[in-house]
Amino acid sequence: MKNYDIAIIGGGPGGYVAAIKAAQSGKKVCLIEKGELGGVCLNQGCIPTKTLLKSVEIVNAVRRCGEFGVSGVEASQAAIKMDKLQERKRAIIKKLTGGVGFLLQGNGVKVYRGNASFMNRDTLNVNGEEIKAANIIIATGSQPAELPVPIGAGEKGKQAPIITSTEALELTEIPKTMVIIGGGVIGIEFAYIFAQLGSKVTVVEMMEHILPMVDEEITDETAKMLKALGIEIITGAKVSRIAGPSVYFEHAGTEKTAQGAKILMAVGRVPHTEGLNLETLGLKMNGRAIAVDEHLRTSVQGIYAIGDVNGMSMLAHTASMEGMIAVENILGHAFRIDYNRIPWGIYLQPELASVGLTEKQAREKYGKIKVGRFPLAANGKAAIEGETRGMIKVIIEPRYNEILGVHIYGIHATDMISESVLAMNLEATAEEITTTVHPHPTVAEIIPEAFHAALGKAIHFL
Amino acid sequence: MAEFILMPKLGFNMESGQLAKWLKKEGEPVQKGEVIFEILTDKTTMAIESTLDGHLRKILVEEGETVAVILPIAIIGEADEDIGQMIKEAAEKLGKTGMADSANAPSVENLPAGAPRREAVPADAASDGKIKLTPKAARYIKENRIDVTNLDIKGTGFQGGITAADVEEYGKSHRGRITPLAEKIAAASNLNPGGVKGTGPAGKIMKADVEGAVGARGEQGRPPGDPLADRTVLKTIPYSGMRKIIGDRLSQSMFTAPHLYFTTSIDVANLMTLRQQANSSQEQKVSLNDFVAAAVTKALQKCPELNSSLQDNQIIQYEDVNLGIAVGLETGLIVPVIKKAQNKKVTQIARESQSLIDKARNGKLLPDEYKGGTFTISNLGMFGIENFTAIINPPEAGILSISAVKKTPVVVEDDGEDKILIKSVMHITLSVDHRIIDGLVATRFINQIKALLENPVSILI
Repeated sequence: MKNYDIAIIGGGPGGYVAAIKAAQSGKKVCLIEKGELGGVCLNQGCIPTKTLLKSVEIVNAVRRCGEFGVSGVEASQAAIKMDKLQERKRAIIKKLTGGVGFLLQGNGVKVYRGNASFMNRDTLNVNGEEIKAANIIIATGSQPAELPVPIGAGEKGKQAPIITSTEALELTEIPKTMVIIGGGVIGIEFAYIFAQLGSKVTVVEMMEHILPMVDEEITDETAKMLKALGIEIITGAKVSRIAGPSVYFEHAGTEKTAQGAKILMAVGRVPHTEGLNLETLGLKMNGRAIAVDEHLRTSVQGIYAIGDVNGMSMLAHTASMEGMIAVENILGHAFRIDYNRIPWGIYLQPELASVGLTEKQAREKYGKIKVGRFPLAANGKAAIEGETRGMIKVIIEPRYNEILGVHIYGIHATDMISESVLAMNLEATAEEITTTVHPHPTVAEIIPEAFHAALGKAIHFL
Repeated sequence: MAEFILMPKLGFNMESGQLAKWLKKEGEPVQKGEVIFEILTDKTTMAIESTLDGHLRKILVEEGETVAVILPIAIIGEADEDIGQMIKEAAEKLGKTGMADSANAPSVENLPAGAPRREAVPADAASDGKIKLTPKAARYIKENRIDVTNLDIKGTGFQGGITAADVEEYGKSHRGRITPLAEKIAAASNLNPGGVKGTGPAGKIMKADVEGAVGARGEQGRPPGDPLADRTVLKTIPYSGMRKIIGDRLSQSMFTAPHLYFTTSIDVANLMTLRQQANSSQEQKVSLNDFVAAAVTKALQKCPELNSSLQDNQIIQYEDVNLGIAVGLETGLIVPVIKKAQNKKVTQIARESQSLIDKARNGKLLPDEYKGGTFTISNLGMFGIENFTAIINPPEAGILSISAVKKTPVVVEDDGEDKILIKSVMHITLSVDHRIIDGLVATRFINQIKALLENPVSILI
């Protein structure tokens, strides 16, 4: 039997960060991973999707190169070779997962390969070996959710070509048609990618808006952009069954159907707890997620749950922060996580990034608010980049000018949102942003402009 | 030879006084008769003068501190005199341990006045594990909810004791450790953020900390987490001192004495004529209020039930009419008293009340001048008020509210015919303590006043 101070189950962005932090704090740490280090994020999520997106961006740039005065390129012939793209993707994943392993090793974290299952509250069984730890952090992530509708063969016994995001990332051929069930972040990112690769994409979303957690003014813009790419978006559509390549759904009171050479199931993700033998602990659950308090503690002392498995925010960067907070709390501190200031990004072109409340949420919570907007079209750097679509929208509380929400739809949005996250975390107010010098020319100049607009009037906009 | 300045006993009932303000600093020269500090008694602020020439060597009581009468407040002596023993003695009397060691460090006290004391401080405040706070610092800390055990404050007071100024300075110099949002909320809430314990990174004061402090300060009625959503605070004023004394006394009166009110109107035509004649025939100008005071005095003599008080299960009726005249000040309310008013002519009442009102407005009333009242009148006529009711000044039995003279249409019967005449009419309202005064006595009394004021010659004879 091996003894550790802290055992971490799962080597994704929550688990491996927690392991490094714990080891740096002088604890004896082990990490158990049954798949690949880096979790879904590195292997089937953030990193591979963005690799695909980069290729799409490059091919788009090549197609537009004449606009920028580049000659000698047969722009109309520009295309993506899927096998090459997959090769590049694998190389990036390999490099990054290797990096994670290297970091864990360098910090003295013992890595076990295999499934961890609880024997009792401080003992795990890994490949028949007993591992004992005073504190255990569960960081087992999530898996694609399934849609509880009948799925059957279509005409001529053709099986339904259902895939999840995992398989979508492995495609070596671009399907002619694709039906995507779910208009959330995953569904919309894949819709964008495959539409740009050449598929005829139909998105079927149950809610009235795609990207339901995004500010409506921004999603309206995004939906327009997606439709301009030829993507058909059907909202308020409830899928009733799938038969072969046909997806049947109710829309506006009638049953309709959409055909796809591939049907991508993107209806969300559910916490992954199989094989952990949680039953033996009697952990309090929150649906399929492990219930935690704001200190990431589960109902059983010494056991913490971080990342997707606790169902709180289901973002890689949330998982990493939760991992560090859980370790700090194991070390005797009382750190908390504030889920109200977690940013997110959606990787289309232009990108979407946001932190805080949407305008609607802010109005519900604060009543009176001030909203500032600024269009990318009025930004010099965006014009240079040749990408002037989109806008920034900021929401402030009128009394102290507290920053309530920042929503960017535009080029470099995901790289620019951190300023606003930091500002909110430091409780900076609108004036601190407008009195901060932003370098010129940058797209980030839109941020103080929007706050100027919220306080009164933007400088570079009439 | 150095001397103690003591907390004076300014009235029979005075047991303690609050040091309101120091007008001299330690080390400054003072002359006999020069005002060195002000104290706050239960009714007024008094300036206290030095009893000898010398230097203000030691302040023993900080501003805001309350001490019992005849306890030492300061030491006045020669600039280079050794007052170590006196400080020790004072510390014992005042029960201040922080000063008790002073005799061990006479060198500090032997320094010439005005010499820098900070360097001479022998020990750090926290060196013995205990934090030494001056009383004012302690109060400041309490009011601002500061947890000093967690703050690294360097004391600049005696023996490294932490003064209120040190705490304030610490608050100022640590202003960087507050978020801009928290700072704005603190400013809007009139909260000194230096006194708030921060829970943010590295102890930074966050919005939630300030909101917590504002909430804990007693801003009740606000929804938690969103304390300032609906009302903008201009400033908050402590309910203390004179304000609180007035408030406590009035609530005591209102909630223990069941008030009963009687209003009547007075035709003041004759009174106006008489007043005009009186004012044109002699030097001392007489106001309407003076006539009312005289009339009330006369009526009180005829109805001694009203010239009484309920104290310790006894109804005491007084022979003398000590008539209180309510005077409104910016800072509150005070009732100077015309003693033995029954022996005074209207002109005397006029002279005396004018002098008392002036003194009251300048904060110069002596305790003797606002004590011992037997009945009170309150006049808001000069502000045009048409009718109001006053709360009895305990332990008195009643109070008379006098409103403005106003031209009023009045129905009169003339030769069996109703006619409307325009008359100058004044409303008066009597409030009585129904525990000891019934309606019958009260109406008799107020009608007596009415009769006197409508036939004012009878006031004079």
